Amino acid sequence: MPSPPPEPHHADEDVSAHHLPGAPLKALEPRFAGSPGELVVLGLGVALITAGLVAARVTGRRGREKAR
Amino acid sequence: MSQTPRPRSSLWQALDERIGLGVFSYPVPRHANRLWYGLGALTLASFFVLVVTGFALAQYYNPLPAEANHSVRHIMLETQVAAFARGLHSWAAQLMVVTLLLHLGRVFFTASYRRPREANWLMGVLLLFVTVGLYFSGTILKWDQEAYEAMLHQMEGARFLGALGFLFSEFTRSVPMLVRVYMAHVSILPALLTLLVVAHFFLVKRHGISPSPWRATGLPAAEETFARHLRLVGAYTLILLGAMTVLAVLLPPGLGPAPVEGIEVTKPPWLFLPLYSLEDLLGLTAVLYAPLALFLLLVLVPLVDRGGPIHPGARRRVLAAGVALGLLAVASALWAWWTTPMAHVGM
Repeated sequence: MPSPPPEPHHADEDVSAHHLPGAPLKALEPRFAGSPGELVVLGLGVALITAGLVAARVTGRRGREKAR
Repeated sequence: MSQTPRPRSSLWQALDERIGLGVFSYPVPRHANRLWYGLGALTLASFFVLVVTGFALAQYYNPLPAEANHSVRHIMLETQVAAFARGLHSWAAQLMVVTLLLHLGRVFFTASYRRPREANWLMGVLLLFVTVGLYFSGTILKWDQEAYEAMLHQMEGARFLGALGFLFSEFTRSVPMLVRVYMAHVSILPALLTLLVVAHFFLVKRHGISPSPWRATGLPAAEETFARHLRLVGAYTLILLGAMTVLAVLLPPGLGPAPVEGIEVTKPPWLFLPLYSLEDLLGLTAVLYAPLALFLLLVLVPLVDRGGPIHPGARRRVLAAGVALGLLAVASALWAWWTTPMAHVGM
């Protein structure tokens, strides 16, 4: 018989109780909170994607030019 | 049309003299400078990310069963860098499997397993299974309910194998099974994967990039330098790294509840959903026989499809069989995703 699904657990909730020995450990579902650190890393990811797209386009164009 | 190589810089010459960089300076056919022919390299890039982030996570993770789930919670809640590393690790694993499956599909579609590349196809099949082993063992390490049930399946599979399954069973009582899975995940399987990757690349270099199925037989292939191929793969790798980073921030991996013995209430990650639906239909033995059947099918591909043109139009039956198998896997995964979880262990 399947047991009921665990209650959702948010990143900003106090979870110290779940660290006690023998206490039930519930599911953790971290979410994007828009903190400065997260935004910086997100910006880094977008910059990497942009740099990759530009580099692929430039390399592809040079290759086509050389082929002609 | 082949290109005249440009004069190398003094730095290149200095490095070439000392570490033999010139070995990478060889022509590749122009059709190799496409995303489809860079998927293997992207899979390797994901593996590098997994090694680096795995090293970071190993500083915080405790594989003892009583501590494993706690240590993952510690990573997620109290260490921002390790939490981000975990997100990258998880998404790099997903993307590695995705690019690997797409790479397999490309090689299959372009008949790149034909003579003399049969041995390299076999290397690729072994790499696929080692990668799936790494993915599977990684899902166990977080030691939540899903992980616990995955390990139960592993041990049941070992029981069916009898004496051959001792490595996957609790044959030793001195070390917990979870610790042995951890050892396999961080040392045995990555070492095996590295050896196979080296052999795979050696054979790619030995035989060259496979011919395009759309090029008329007998005509010489237009060539590019390998350096340009590397630049393109580098650009795609940047996009891949960016995608991993964005996904790790926006959709960080969660953690299920701590395991409870004696119940089976979860479904496996997406990669194993086809297997899960087979378990629903055929019982737990499907865990053993389905991967074995898939392995044999893949090994047989270059033995069955040996002669004739490599143009897709001339290989309709083989391609139709491959597409049917892929669609069956997707359909069974969707079915498993849609159905209610059911217990398989002890069926």
